[in-house]
Amino acid sequence: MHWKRHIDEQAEQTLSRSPEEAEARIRSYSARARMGQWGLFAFLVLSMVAFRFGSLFFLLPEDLRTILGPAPPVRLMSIALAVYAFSALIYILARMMGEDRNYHGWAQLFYLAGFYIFFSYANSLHENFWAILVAGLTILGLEHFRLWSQCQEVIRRERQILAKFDRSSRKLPSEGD
Amino acid sequence: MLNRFAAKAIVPITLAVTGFVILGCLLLHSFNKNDLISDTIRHEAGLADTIVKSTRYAMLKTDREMLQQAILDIGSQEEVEHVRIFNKKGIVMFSSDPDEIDQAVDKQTAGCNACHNGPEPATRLGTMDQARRFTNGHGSDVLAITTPIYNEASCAAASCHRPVKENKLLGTLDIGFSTAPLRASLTQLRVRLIVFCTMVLFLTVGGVCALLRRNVLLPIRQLVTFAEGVSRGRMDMKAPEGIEEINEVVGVLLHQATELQRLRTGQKKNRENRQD
Repeated sequence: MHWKRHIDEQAEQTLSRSPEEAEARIRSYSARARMGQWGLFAFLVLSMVAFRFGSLFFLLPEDLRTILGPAPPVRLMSIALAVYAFSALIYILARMMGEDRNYHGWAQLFYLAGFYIFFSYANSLHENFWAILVAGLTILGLEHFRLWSQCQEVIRRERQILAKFDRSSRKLPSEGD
Repeated sequence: MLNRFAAKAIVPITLAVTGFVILGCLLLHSFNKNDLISDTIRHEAGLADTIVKSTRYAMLKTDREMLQQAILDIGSQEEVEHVRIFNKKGIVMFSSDPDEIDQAVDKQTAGCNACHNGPEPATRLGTMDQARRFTNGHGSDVLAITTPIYNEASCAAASCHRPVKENKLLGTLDIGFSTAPLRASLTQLRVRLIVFCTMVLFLTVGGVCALLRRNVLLPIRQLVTFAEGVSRGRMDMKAPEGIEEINEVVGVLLHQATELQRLRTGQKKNRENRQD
C-alpha cells in the first residue's frame, strides 16, 4: 500500500489552505493547461515556414555548404525520426502515470525544428515533410492532452476545496446568529 | 466529456497509435519509393549499356543505316520516349526522332550538366547520377539515362577515332523511358499501405477500446449503479463480478451500507423506546 500512501501524501501537499490560494491555483493551472495549445500553434507556424521556405537551404552558397559538410544520409535521418517519435511517445505515456505537471513540449519543438533543418539541408524536405508534421502533431498533441488532463484534475480538486470554503463561510454567520 | 474515464483511457492510446502508425507508413512509403526508383534507374542504365554494346559492331563497321534503324526500332517501343546518340560536341548523330538529327544540344541542360559543370568534363558518373526526370514536350513524365560511349582500342584501330589516351569519350547515348509504369506501381503500393494502415489502426484501437469497455468501463458503470442503489437502501442489488479490485470495492460498500442501516435501525428503535 506504499503507492496509496504516496498519492495521499501528494494530495495533502497540493491542497490549498485558503480560498485565495485555491483561486490562484485554479488560475495558474488553467494557464498551464493551455500551454500545450501554444506549443501546437508554434509547431504549426514552424511547419508552415518549413513548407514555404524549406528549399531555400539548397540555395546556400557553395562555400558555406563546403564548410558545413555533406548532409547526413536521408535514410538514416528517417530512421532517427521514427526512433525519436517512438521514444518521445513512450516518454509521454510514462509521464502520464506520474504527477508531472510541467510542459515538456518546447524541447520537442526544438528537436522537430532540427529535423526540418536537416531534411531541408539534405534537399529532401519535400518528401519527408508530412512525416515530420504527423510526428510533431502526435507528440505535441499527446503532451497537450497529458498536461491538460492532469491540470484539470488539480482544478477540479481546487474547485471542491473552494466550494467547501464557501459552504463553511456561509455556515459561520448562521451559527453566530 | 474529456473528463470521463473512457476518454482519459482511450484518447492517449488512440492518438499515440494512430500518429505512430501513420508516421511509420509515411516513412515506409518513402523508403519503398526510393528503392523502387533506384531499382528502375539501375534497370534502365543496364538497358542503356545493352544498347551501347549491341550497336558497337555497327559503329565499328560505320554502318550508319543499320545503327539508325536499330535506334528507330528501340524508339518505337511503347515505354521508350526517346533514344538519341550524341557525338562529343553535343550534336545528335542518331535519333528515334529524325527531326533531331544534326541538332546541337546545350551542355548546361539537364542530363549534360552532370558532367559539364566544371572546366573539365567528367568522364565517369555513378549510375544514379546518369539519371534525370523531366516532363517532355508531349507532357509525359520521363526518366532518362545518359550513358557514355567510351573509346576502345578497336575503335581507334578502325582509324575513325583518335587513340584512347587522347580521346576517352566518343559520345553519349541518351534514352528516355515513360514513368507511367513506375507511377502505377507507386500508386498501387500507396493504396496497399493505406489499406494496411487502416486495418492495423482499426484492429489496434478497436481492440484496445473493446478490452477497456469489457474489463474496465462496464464494471465501473455497474459499480456506480450498484453504489447509487445501495446508498438508497437497496441491498438486494446485483453486484458487479469478475474483477478483483471491483469486488473489493463492492465489499467495502456493502459493509458500510450494512453498518449504516444497522445504525439507522438502532436509532429508530431508541426513538420508539423513548416515545413509549
